[in-house]
Amino acid sequence: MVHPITQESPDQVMLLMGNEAIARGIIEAGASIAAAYPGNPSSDIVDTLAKAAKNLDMHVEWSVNEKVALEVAAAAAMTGLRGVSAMKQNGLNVACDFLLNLNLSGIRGGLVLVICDDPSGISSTNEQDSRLYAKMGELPLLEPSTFQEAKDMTREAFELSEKLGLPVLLHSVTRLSHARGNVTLGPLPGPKGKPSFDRSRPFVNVPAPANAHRRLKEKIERCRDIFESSPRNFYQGPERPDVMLITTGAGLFYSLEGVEALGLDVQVGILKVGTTFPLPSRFLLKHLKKAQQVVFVEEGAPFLESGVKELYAEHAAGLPSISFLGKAEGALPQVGELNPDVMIRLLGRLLDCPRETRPESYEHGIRAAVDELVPDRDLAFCAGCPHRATYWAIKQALALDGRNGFVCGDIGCYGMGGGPAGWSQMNTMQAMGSGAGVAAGMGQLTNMGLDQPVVAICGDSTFYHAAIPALINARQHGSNFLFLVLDNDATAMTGFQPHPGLGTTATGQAAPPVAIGDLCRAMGYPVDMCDPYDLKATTDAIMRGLEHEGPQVLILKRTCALVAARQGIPPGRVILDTDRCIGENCGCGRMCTSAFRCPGLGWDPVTKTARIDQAICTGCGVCTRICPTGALKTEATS
Amino acid sequence: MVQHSFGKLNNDVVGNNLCTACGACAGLCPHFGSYKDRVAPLHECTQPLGACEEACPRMPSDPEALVRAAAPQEMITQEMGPVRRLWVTRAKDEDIRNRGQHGGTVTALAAFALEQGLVDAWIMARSHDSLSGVPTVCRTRAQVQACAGTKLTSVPVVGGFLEAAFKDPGRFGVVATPCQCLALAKIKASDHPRLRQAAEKLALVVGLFCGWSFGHRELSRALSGRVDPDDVTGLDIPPSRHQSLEVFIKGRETSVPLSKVTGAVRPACAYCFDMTAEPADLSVGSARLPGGWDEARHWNQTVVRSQMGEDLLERANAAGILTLQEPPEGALEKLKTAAAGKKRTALKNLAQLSKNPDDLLYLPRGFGKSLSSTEHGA
Repeated sequence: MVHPITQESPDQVMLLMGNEAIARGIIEAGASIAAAYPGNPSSDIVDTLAKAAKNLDMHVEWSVNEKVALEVAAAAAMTGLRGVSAMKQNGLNVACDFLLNLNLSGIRGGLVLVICDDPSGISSTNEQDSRLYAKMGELPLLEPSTFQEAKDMTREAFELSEKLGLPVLLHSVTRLSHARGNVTLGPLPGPKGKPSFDRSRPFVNVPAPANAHRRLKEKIERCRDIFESSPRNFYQGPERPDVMLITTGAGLFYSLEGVEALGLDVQVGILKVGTTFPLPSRFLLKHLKKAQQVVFVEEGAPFLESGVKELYAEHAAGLPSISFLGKAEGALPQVGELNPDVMIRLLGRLLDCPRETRPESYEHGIRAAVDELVPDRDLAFCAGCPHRATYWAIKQALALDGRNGFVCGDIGCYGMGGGPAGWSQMNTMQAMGSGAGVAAGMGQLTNMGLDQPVVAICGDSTFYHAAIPALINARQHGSNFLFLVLDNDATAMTGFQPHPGLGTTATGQAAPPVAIGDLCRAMGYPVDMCDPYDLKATTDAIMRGLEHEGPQVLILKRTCALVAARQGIPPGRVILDTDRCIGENCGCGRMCTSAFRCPGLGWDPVTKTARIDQAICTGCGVCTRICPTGALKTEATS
Repeated sequence: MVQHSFGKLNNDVVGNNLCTACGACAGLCPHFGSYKDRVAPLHECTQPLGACEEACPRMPSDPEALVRAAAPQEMITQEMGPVRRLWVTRAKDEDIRNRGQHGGTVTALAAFALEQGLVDAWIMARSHDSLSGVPTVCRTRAQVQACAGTKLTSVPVVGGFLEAAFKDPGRFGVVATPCQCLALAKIKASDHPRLRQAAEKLALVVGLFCGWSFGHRELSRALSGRVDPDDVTGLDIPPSRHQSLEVFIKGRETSVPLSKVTGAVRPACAYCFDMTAEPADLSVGSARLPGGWDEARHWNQTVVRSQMGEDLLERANAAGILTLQEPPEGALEKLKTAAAGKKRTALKNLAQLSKNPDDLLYLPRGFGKSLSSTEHGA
């Protein structure tokens, strides 16, 4: 069956998620390689392409990490074809060393790097505005505002990239990537050319990187010229606005909503900029001439804001006196996402037409209702999640070890182990692979008097992504720590994309699996393996690891419960022998629901016994191992 | 403010370094756990008066009251509890003597009691690795013999007993150190329904003399460099004037100055008042004989405390299992002096810990007041 995203029906209107619109733009542009490492809010772009790949003349892969993904995609652009990579903000940090060299060496084909930022860090460990990389790398930056633009500007980004011989950055945010809107499709591309590498024009910046830098400066000035006439930049509103909103990306909708809500379209103009680096100076100066009060509306850092202010400072002599408001002045919040209420309040204040966006009494009412009706719920692991069992074993082992051992953590579902879900057992979390790296350093401090055992944890996908260099480093320098790989056969947090251990690719091709245990043994680590569902064996294995002198690896292998369910692995069935359940009484004290707290378990206040929610329970049976009286037991299901 | 039992054990016992790792709490409740010679609180529990608190030998109790019923009043001593008789004993079976510590009395008695049906199983400490042990349920002579030999690190035997008692039918005997004997006595005396359930299964307690025990990790560290801890097959502590720890390494024997390992002694042992395992049916330790250590190391001395203990010893003697000898003159007095010395040290240390001479933490106010304040050491 043909995937709908690949249909050849120009002018047809499809309801697309922002990320799907970007994927369609990539298809219309005829990219030959799409490579990425998953990370929300970017994952759906390559997920969509992977699903459609069999209808496309395109290599689509989930790469081992973002740097490798960008390198793989760049190969297409080094041989005259088009390549694309998509990543979240943290991913760009991983890829940026390559990117900030490729800007100087340039490309021959088209290379587009889609960056999806996550204001407020809704599905992230940080909040960052990746647009600053455009300025640092002196690379063209496009910021679509609408779903149609998401598709069209993606296609245009390839054309621009080829025109300039530079990678082009396309920037999105959660509210564009994950929302849906109508998109009118364009035509599909014709046949692609044959890739060829021209050895006479190598991509090498040395021996004189400054010369390459000079060429980059020339390219970016040409780019500015192109942007001067871009239809992605426009002004709408009165000729002499009382307030001019200068906006980009998702800020456009917040601006439109604010103006519409207050009926201000005769007083407020909107200057929408889709090409935010390099800024089209002549275009901006022309419109600044009619402004007296400017408000910048953009997600993230005051990026457009500082660029325009800089421009104004350089050309102030020929411009009216303008007062600027934005994030720098604190008129808009400097952290977290924007929302329409922020705009409505600000415009109401500026133009003296205040509108209560949400009555306080309403807000109090809602809070009271929530307090009364909604039970407190922590972030929790799914029923049957092997990580819950792993953290239980870690907690037991560290307590029994008695030396106040701690856990250097990493990014993945198991990152919730820093909170109640994992009994606060995970104690550091920064970048992908940082658990191993930080532990490699901590493991040196054990030789200097740090008398607490050091544990690092890392998921399977994260292991391949960034833990390997840290492990090699630790091995070389004899760091003393226990490395736990939480191998659940999945890149679970981002949506179950394949990784190198799984024997398959993004497009479902068989691939030789790269075994974590083999890699660790090859690095010289003693490797132990156990099933985290077996709490006793896991606790004992961790205890052994803590007592052992020197670095070692323990692989905790158990398929993610969601993957197991998808694979149809028959679940067991946990049942309760109510006669044996002693509930709140001494000797148990509701161990299963007060300490272990799997969402599949509940409490019956009438019988004062545990209760199993069979709709949620996966039958993993881990709770039967923490039940002190054997009241919880597993029975086989047919 | 109601303090939960979990909090009391966590703060007053573990937090004060009083925990003896007997394993009572862990055997009663999944909120505690044990591993080798360590017991740890794992998950917060909110029971206001839990069985753990009732059983813990370092939560307040009156140890003298607990042993009062074992023997007539005139047989109760201030220094070492009830004493019906003192014997110098050893196993007749040479194989048992060779495997066991000193005279092998405990191994021989335990095997005999099993075969006579006095108990259905023993809970004993079996070597886990060279320096640590695990509580083991012994239902056969061979299993008993596999536990022969003293472990100088704590083994959570009370936890092992409770686990077995809640799971398995039958009546159990326990071979226990003094702190563990106190836990077992508290379990027997308690009205707590969970403890009554376990107490019904407790038939016999053989106590072991104990001066102190080592922390496993600390001993391992103290020995490393001198011997490979993994090669150690046994340990012994000769009378105190030798000031040494005997270490047996695969058939050969070496001696480590006691001063090199005293830092590895469990801090909790400094607060223990009982050298001779007072709340037991029989208590067994190393003998002191006129021929010195070379002779004494092949014998035990056994204190008969309860009627049941007396019956067992008599039956074993009649069956030709044990050799019983009258102790040398003054042996009981020497033992009392040593036991009183341990009591005085413990009381001093407890008062120091509480920063109040009248507050003995887990012991009743005025405990040991009547001990004479002269003389020293065995």
